[in-house]
Amino acid sequence: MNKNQEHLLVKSLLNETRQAEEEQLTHLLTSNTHAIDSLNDWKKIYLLLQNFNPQFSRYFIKHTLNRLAHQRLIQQTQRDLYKWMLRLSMSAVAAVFLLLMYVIWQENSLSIDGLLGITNLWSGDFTNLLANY
Amino acid sequence: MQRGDEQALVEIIRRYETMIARIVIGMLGNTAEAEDVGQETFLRFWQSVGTYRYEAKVSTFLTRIAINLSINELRRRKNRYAWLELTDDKPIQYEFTDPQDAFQQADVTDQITHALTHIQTDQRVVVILRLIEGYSTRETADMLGIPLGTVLSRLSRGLEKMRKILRNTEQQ
Repeated sequence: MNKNQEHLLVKSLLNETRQAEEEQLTHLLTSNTHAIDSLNDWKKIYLLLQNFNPQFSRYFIKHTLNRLAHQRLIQQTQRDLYKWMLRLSMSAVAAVFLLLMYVIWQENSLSIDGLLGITNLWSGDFTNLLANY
Repeated sequence: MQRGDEQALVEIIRRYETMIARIVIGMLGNTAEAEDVGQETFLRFWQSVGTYRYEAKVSTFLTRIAINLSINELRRRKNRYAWLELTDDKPIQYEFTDPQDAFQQADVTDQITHALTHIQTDQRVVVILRLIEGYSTRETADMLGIPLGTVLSRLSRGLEKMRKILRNTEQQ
């Protein structure tokens, strides 16, 4: 069977043949036994498919709701974690800012030594510190 | 519904569970993954309720989600079990006997699922939407973004493949 004939058979199965196609279909079904066999079997299969009625398990709704609750819990945990990280990072930024302000206020400048708190440290201080122990 | 009321979700699941089961089990077979995808379909729908446009039917919206998730699952499965296909080349044993008698058998669902899951994915989607769910040929074409002729071709090839599968088992 060619493509047009296949389409014609499917249309016949679905009752979608137009008036003009009826004649072609009749001709096809009278001249081609394979087409008749196919159409008859397709009709049986169509009938079976229309009665195809599988079911999910009886706990399907319960499982879906559990899954929804689980998803909500995960989303809530992610939101809480994000909020906590945001708070932590904001506190860290505030602490750094305060440290910088303090260093500038104390030293009137911003230097690495100032940040490390060793601006007024003499070179002998480490030796003295160690000697005291 | 847009307030996210859980009772509304339960109502949606009750109303569309059977439809989604037909689509998802038809696509993936009666497996644990099918139930997972079914659950995920409703959860995705629920998450997108805020953006849901009322021009589309709930059933159409759910169908699209179910089809997309099933195709994704099939891709994952293909990657996951690719090595199995290399080692297992035994012919598939079908249990189908006679389509006419099988209509009255209790396990007809399993047999149809079996036949469905052994046709190509693109043909399976069209068979499910057009022949099982009853969408029109135009709606099926629009939903999948393919021409009408392609829907008809996939239907004829899918049905022919299913016919061969069922015939083979009839002879066994």
